[in-house]
Amino acid sequence: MSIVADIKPTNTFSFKPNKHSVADFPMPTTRVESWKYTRVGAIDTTWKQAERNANSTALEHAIRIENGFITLPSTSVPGIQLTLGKDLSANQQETILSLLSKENRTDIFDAISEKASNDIVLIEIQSGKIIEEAISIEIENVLNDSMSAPYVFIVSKENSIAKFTVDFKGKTDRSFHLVHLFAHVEQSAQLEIHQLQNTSKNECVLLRESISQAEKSVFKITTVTASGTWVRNELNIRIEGQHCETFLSGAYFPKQDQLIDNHTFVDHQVANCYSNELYKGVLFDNGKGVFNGKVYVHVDAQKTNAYQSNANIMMSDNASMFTKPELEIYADDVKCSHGSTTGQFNEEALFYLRARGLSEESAKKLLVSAFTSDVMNRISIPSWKEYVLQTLIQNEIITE
Amino acid sequence: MAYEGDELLENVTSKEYEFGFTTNIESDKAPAGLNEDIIRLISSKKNEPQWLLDWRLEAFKIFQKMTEPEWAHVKYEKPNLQAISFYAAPKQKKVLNSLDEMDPELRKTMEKLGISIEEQKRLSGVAVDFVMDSVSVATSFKEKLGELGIIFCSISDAVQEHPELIKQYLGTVVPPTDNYYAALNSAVFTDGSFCYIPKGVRCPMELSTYFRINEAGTGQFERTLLIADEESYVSYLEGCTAPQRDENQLHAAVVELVAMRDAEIKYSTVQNWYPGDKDGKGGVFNFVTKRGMCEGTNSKISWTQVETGSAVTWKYPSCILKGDNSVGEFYSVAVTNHFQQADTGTKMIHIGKNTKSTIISKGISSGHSQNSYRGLVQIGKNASNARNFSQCDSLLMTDTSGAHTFPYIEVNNSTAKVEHEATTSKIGEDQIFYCLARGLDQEQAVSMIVNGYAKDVLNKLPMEFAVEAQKLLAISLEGSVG
Repeated sequence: MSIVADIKPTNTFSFKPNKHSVADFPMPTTRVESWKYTRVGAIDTTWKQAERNANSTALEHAIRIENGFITLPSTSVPGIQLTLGKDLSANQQETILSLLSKENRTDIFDAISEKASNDIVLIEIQSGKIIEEAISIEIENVLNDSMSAPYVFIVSKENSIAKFTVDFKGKTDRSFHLVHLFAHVEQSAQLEIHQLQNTSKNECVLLRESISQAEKSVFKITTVTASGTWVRNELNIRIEGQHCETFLSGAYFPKQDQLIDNHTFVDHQVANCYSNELYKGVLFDNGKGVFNGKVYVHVDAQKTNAYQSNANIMMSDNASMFTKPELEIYADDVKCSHGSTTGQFNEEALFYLRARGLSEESAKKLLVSAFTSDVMNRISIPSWKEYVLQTLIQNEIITE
Repeated sequence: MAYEGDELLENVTSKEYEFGFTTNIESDKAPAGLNEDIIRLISSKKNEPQWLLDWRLEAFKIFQKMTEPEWAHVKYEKPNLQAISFYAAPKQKKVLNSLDEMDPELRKTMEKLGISIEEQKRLSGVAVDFVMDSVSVATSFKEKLGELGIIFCSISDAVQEHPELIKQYLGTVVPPTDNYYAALNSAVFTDGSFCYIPKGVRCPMELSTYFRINEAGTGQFERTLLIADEESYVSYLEGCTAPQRDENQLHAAVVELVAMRDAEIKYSTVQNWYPGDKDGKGGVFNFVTKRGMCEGTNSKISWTQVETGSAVTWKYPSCILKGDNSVGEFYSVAVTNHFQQADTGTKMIHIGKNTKSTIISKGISSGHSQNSYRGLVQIGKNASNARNFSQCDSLLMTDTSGAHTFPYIEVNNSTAKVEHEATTSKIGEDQIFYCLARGLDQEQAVSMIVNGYAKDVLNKLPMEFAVEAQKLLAISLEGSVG
């Protein structure tokens, strides 16, 4: 197999000692438990290696990742230090290696990504700083049939507060985003990441996120997938310090033949933490949705309070939804629960709206926006929330 | 974890298996090992027709190509099949005219188990097909059932007397290709029960079989086939106790149920096989394939199980809801203690229209045990208006035990309504406090809370079994405070 024909390493950062060889791993099949419902077919083709776009210019405020190559914004914000892979100091390299070493998943995509990785950025939020403005990251491929493999590392230092927006845009007829994001939230720090995936209809996304949280930290993430032919988000959250809070939420709207897969893993390693997970999906046409949420409570993680909820609405007879909410619990003094539902709209609600003069289409859209409003309400940046909602309106998923 | 109840917990959770006794009856035993000759031997001992031998050999070929599954959340030393004797029959072979002719040793065993056949014959109206080591020894009430046209006998007898039914249904619900242990069972099954309820007959009594693994070193490969023809009803009870021993025993049974149009089958199990001692030594391996086929419209299959025994359990009683408007139910209480491991749950496969399924699973983990629920709810493309409700609760008694939930939900139809919820927690200190404040002692309080927790399932058991189930829960759990 070759996902990228003849990969040439383009990045100066050495992933040793983490380095994996592509040849060591087989392509996952549906016989592999974590790929049971997701065929790699769409991405298991030969992609061109992405190249740096010579014409790309720095944005004023946002970090731009184009074809996997990173351009820092032209203006700097006090309290945030941005460092590209080639400029990393020895200490920063150590930081990155320690973040990488926390992730114990290794498969062919990690190996490919390490080899093909285009660029690396390390974003450090200095301790005690409160960053008012959200930091935005734009991810876009502009080269058809190419694969991009950028790495983003975020370290929120002690007592800092920061918010990020990550915007996956689509421009190519066909391309593959293989994006890694690692974040560490230090003691008493707060980090929020709000993501929108609206890649063009034939773009594929494999987003791998590994988050670790130290004592008393707060981490919140929202992921809205509005479009993309093959999207898989793997979100692993390790809770390493006590008294942490974690909120993870997502909404997904597979249409036509799209596949949207959300794999989440919340690893409660220590006691007295709280996690809350909410994922909602609306499936259209031949859309296929996968949700696999796992909560793991270690022996020592007493007094854990973990909650997980997944709800899905099927808009079409040809859509399919595969849900697997898992609990693996080794501590006794815990409160863990999950709930999952799959169904269709309440006929009465639809009738009510129709009786008030709405067309069936706009009534359904209104119900979709109501159904997903609790996920949207977790987006704490008003301008970003507006942008997400506008995107969904443009994609004819919800109504104004 | 220092609770006041620790001593009490120690006393009760360390309780050894109460029904650990061995009956000394001479038995006719095949040499250890698994090969075609053994299969031929089993087949010839049972005087089977050629087609069944061919079927067994075919299954054996399939089995040889398979590997033991490892996906379940259990760890154990894989049994060495070559060290197991695949056939053991009590030597006493002559046909009995009355119970008095029975081996007195056997009678004693039954009495120890609390199932005096005479008592049952006279009072409770339960026909008992008592299976002792693979061969049915006593069958009562056969005549009475015969009047209604109900066939209730050992599967070996059924092969002789009703070969057409066996040929028609054997392996249709659980084919030999299904899984490793189903293939093994198909190749070497020695005995089991067969039941056929004719059209329109409502079986007047609860049919019951007591399985008992008695011969040291013999695995049991039971095969149960139960067919409820159109508009019939049957309630079937299966209960097990096994004597204490050191080496692991393998039990790989297959149960197949077929419900035709408007038929209803209620299948209840109380399972209390030897779970190993408090250090996790010994105990029965229970790798069972149970599946019911709701073949006709409006048919219904209901599984109820109370699982307290076995060192390792691997069991998923399932329903294939093929007929329109058919109903599948699964009610389970699974208790694990010491070093027991259970990976149990159900599969509900919705194929027909307007099919409904309900899953209520209650897990209780104590000691160092691991208790997992693993379930599948699958709504097919044509299963319009399918409805499923699943509830999986886990109760943790100690901080050394684990409770896990692995539900799989696959929906391919937009009109389906599928709900799943799961919770894991320990007994609320406030609940215990409430009971203590009202004058109950710690043990009574826990017993009451646990019984209340499992009530949804216990209520589904037939009267005859509810008592036994409560006894088993008491042995396994009372006083466990986490």
